Amino acid sequence: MNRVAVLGAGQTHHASKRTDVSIAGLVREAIERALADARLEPADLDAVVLGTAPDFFEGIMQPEQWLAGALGAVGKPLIRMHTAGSVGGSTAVAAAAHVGSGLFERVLAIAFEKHSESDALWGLSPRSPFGRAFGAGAGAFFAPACRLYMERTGAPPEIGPRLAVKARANALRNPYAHVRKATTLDEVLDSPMLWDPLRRLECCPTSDGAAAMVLGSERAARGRTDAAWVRGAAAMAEAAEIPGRDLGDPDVGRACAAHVYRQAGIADPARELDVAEIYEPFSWIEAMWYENLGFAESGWRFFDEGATEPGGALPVNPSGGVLCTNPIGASGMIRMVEAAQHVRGRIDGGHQVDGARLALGHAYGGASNYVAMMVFGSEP
Amino acid sequence: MSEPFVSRFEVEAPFAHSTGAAMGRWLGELRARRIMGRRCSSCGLVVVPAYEHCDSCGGELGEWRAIGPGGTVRAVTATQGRTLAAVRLDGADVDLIHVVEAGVERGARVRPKWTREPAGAITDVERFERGEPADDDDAPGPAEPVAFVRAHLRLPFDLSAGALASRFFDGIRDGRIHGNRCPSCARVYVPPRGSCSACWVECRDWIEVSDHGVLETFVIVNVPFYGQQVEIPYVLGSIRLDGADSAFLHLVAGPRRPAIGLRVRAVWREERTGFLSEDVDRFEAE
Repeated sequence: MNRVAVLGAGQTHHASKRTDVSIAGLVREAIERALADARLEPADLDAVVLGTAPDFFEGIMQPEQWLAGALGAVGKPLIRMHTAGSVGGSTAVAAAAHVGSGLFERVLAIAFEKHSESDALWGLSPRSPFGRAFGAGAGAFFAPACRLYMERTGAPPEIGPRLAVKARANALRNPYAHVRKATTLDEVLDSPMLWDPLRRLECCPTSDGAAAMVLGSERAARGRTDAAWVRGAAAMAEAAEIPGRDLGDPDVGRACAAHVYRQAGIADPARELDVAEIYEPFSWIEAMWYENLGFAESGWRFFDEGATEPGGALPVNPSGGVLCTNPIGASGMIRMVEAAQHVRGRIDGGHQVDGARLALGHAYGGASNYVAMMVFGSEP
Repeated sequence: MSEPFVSRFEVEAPFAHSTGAAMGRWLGELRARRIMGRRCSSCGLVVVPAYEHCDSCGGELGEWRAIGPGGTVRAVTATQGRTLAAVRLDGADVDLIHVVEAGVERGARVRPKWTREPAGAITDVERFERGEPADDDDAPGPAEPVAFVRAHLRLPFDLSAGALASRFFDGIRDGRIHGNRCPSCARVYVPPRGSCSACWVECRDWIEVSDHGVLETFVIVNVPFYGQQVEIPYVLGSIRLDGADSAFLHLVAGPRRPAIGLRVRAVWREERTGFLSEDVDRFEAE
């Protein structure tokens, strides 16, 4: 594959309700910021890759068709991605593949969600055609995996709440974050159980938001000193229904991580990565991904030692992560945007990891059976 | 074996689409009986309806101006008893698609027929009908923006369960739970599956499993949402029956507190539908 550069990236200000814009206006806010960051015009783009959650989330069928004008995609190749919650990540991976193929010079990746247009928990709780439906959002799906992790590892029960405190403290420095509120451990512990063992403040919000990236070829990046380079990129899937799968440690996550680390020449991710943005819709999930992504044998201990706090050996989610901002379709791309901007030194707000040269962006979705990961470097 | 089971069910929910500043104003003007266009700052076209952007070139839209209300029919078609036309309103550079009076032909001059009770929706123009607009038979009032377009989607489906699930349902009606076994890895799937996703081979052996099993893990659901079918709070457990390798989600209730590893048994209802989620009311501690 040819080399791929990140020429620019942007995101909206995220909120529970962005009623000041339509969906079209929301995606344009992210695109305009990414194009301005890339010093490019819509006419410079050769193709557009759009990602979002299922159409039921906004009740608009085939939004990629309706949005073609807003995306500046009229007369250009336009495709839509969907890989459950990982879609923002896999959309960026697909756009990178477009450029890497050599067929396109500059490709726009755009992902969005406007959760406020419907009941997000309804969208995540499909009714069954064969009797009662017991599902109750993503929390009902992942809380049992969190309970298993707690039982299996014997981790102290406050690890999850402390991870939530970290996310909320980090988001205070991120001007785009949805939830920006200083939160104490007691406040997390005192918040009601929504999906026991997960408390309200250990769960992601539902947000309106969008994120965009402009990816370009080596030629398109010529003369630019502020490009990030895609050093590794992969999106993978596995069957959800294989008995005995651990939703908190799926094989596909380990396989995808090994793949992108190999592409990027990374042997020891915890030592070599300068920052990671990972997809943690629930507090405990973050510790579980530390293990799945090969950061540490024990995820909760890695956190407990302070390794992933700002200034630690491997800061994780200095943006505040999905726990503070969750427009589902865009949440994966926000991870990629943040990771790329760290190595470009272009983080807006106070959470820049100074001198970051290598960053991981990660997203997962479905029954942990979809993953998408990218490694960005300051050098090709 | 009986005929494959077909389930008729409906996906439905309410939606509130926020219009944003541009469409909100456009719909508000429509409610006040004014059709507005907007000039694109990039390509110069006067477009209608007025989004935040130009659908032709992707540019920013600028100046607002009243267009029409008269226009010329540029293309026409009839579908499902209605006549639809592309109407080029006077002063606009793009067509507005709308319902027109039956029998209207290409090239005809048309004017809007306004509804009696405008709601800030495209249907405030009931249709376009033949003729030039009257000078002013109904003076437009002041425009208040429209914040939301509300909709309630209903999507009915007839979903065939297929032969395998239908056979499983037959067993449930008899109070028996079946699975099938992968001939390669010997894992037993409950409910049965056509093939083993791990081995990519067809599962054939049809075997009955116990209605007792183990609670692998669980969540206590205490969050309400639209369309919820079980009263909160409730315990949702991952249950692996004796003789099975796969687990499924079901309700867990009863006097004993749930715990990982708890032995449980199915509590059957008298009335049968064939669905595991219905005919087994819940699982309880043994």
